[in-house]
Amino acid sequence: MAMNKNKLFAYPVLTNYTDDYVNVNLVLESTKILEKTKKISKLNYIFQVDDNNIIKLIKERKAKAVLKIYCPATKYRKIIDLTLGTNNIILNNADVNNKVQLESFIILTENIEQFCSESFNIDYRGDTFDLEKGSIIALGNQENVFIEKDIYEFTKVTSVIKVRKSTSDEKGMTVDYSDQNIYVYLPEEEYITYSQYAKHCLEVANSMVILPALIFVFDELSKDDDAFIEYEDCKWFRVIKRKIKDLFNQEFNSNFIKVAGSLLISQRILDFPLKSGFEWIKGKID
Amino acid sequence: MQLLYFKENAVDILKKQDLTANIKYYYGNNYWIEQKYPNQKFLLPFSKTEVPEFNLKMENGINDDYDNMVIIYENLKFLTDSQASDERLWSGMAHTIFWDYMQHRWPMPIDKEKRSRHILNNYFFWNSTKAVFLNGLSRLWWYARFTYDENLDDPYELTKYVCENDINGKIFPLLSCAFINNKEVFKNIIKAVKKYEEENNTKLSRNQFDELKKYLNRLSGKVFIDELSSEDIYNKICERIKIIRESSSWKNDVKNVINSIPRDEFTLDDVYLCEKQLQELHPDNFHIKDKIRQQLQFLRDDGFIESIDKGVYRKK
Repeated sequence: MAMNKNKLFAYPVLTNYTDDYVNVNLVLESTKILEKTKKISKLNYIFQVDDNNIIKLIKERKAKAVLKIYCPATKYRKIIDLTLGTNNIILNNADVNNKVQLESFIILTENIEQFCSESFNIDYRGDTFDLEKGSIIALGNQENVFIEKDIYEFTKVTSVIKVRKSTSDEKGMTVDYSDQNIYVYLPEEEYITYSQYAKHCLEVANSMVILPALIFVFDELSKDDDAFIEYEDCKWFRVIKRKIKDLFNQEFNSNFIKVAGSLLISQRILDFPLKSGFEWIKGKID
Repeated sequence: MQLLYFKENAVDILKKQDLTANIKYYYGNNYWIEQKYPNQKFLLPFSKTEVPEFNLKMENGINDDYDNMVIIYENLKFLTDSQASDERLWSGMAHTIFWDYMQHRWPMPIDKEKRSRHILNNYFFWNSTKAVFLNGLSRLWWYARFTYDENLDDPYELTKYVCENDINGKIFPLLSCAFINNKEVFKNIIKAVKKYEEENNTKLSRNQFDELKKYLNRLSGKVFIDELSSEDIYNKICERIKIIRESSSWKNDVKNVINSIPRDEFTLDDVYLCEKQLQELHPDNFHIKDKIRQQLQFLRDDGFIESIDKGVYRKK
C-alpha cells in the first residue's frame, strides 16, 4: 500500500512536495527504464540528498535510505538499503506479478535525540525533535512498474475485448471496461447470432461490434485524466497502451486521444476493418 | 498427479458470464463442467512433471485446516509466489482434483442470496487484496507460506498457532495491514503475541487483538516497522498488551459499577460513589476519578451509554 501523500508528521520530513525543508535537493526515484529477462527484471534507482545533517546521519549509520518494493498480487514486500548514487535493483520475476509499487524513504536506524537541520523551514528553525528508531525523515517518489508475463506483450487488442451475452433487458450493446478485459454485452438474440457467425466474417463483426466499443472506451477515457491512473492496473489498458506506443510512438493519455481522435485510433488498432469487411461482403454478393 | 489450471477464458466464463446459471451445479459432483462445455478445453496441465499424489483431509471441517495447510504446502512448496497468486491455478484445482474437498469444507450456504458470493470467494479470487486468503484452497497454501519458519524446531509451529487462535476473527483482519506483507514482520508479531500469552498464561480476546492491530497500524504510520528487530517488536507488543489489558479491565470494572446503578439515567457523581471500590481493585492507581471519566468516554464511544447532558448519562 502506498504511503499517503497527505500524511502528516509531527516533525519536519524532507519531501519534494512539502516545504518542511528549504533549499534542499532530494532525488529518490528510478530511471524509469526497466530491463527484463525471462527470470529477472532490473532497474536503476537514484538516491541523492544535499542536507548536511541527513548526510552526516547516513555517514554515521544513524540513518539510511531504503526502497520498499511491494507487489499487491503476490504479497511480496521487500526492503532494500540504498546507497548514495545509482543503485542497481534486481527483481526476481517469480516473486512478483503485474504491478509492483516502489516507495523510498530515509529512516533512522536508532533513537535520535534533538534531531534538527539548518535547512528546516523557518517555522521549525531552532526546534529539535526526539525521534525513535524507524522514524521516517524523508520521503521519495512513489512509482509503479509492471512486470508481467511476456505473453501480454504479444497480446492482440482484440483478445482483451470479450463479447458476452447481456443479462439485462437493455436493447443494443453496452460496454464495461472496469475489469481486466473490456466486455461488450449484446442482447441475447444478437449474441447468439454473433457467436455463430462472427468467426466466419471477423472483419465485419469487428466493424459492427469491436470498433464502436473501442471508440466508446476512448471517448470516455478522454474525459478524465485520472482514468489513466485508475485503469493502469487493467490488462486491457496496458495492452492498448503498448499498441499505441507501437503504432503511434505516443504516450497514452487524454491529450493524445483528443489530438488523434477516438475514431482514427480505434481503426488503426483494428487495422482498418472496414476495408476487409466490405471486401468480404463483396465476395459474398459477387 | 497432474495439477491442472484453468485457461483465462474458463475463469471468465465460469466466474462472470455463466455464474448465476451454474449455481445449481455447485452441489454434488463436478461432471457438469465437461457436460455443459463439451467442446471447450478449459484446463491445461500446470507443468510437464507430475507431483506426488496427495489428498486433503475431509473429516472435521475447520479442525482439519492445520493438517491441510501442512499437506498442501509440503506438496506444493515449489510454487513461486507469482504462481501461487494466480487465480487460474487455484480455481482450476478447486473445480477438478479438489472438488470433493471444496464440497466438504465449503458447502453451499442455505441463504440463496449468499450463494454467488460464496462461489466467487471460495472457488475464484474475488475483489479483495486478501483474495488469496479467502479462496478455499489458496488460503491453505498462503497461511502456511506466511507462517512457515525453518528456524523453528517445528517449522509449522506458527501455522498451528494461527489455526488454533481464531484465524478468521483475529489473524485474517491483521492481514489487511500493509506491513504484514513482509512475512518476517508478520512472523515476528505472531511470535511476540504467542510468547506473551505463554509467559503470562493468558489468551488475547478478539477485541484485545483488534486493539493491538490498531496500535500496530498507528505505529507503522510513525516508524518503519520492517526495520524493527524481533526484540523491538516483542518489547513494543508486550508494552501495548499490558495497556490494552489494563484498559479493558478498567472498562469492565466501570461497566459493572454502571450496571449496579438501578436507574437508566445516572450522573458522574453516582459513579464517583464507587471510587473506593475501584481504588481497591486498582491499588496502584492514584487518579481514580480521572480514570472513571476516561472510561465513561470509552463506554460512550462503544455505544454502551450515551451522554445526555454535562455529567449526565443514560444506559443504552
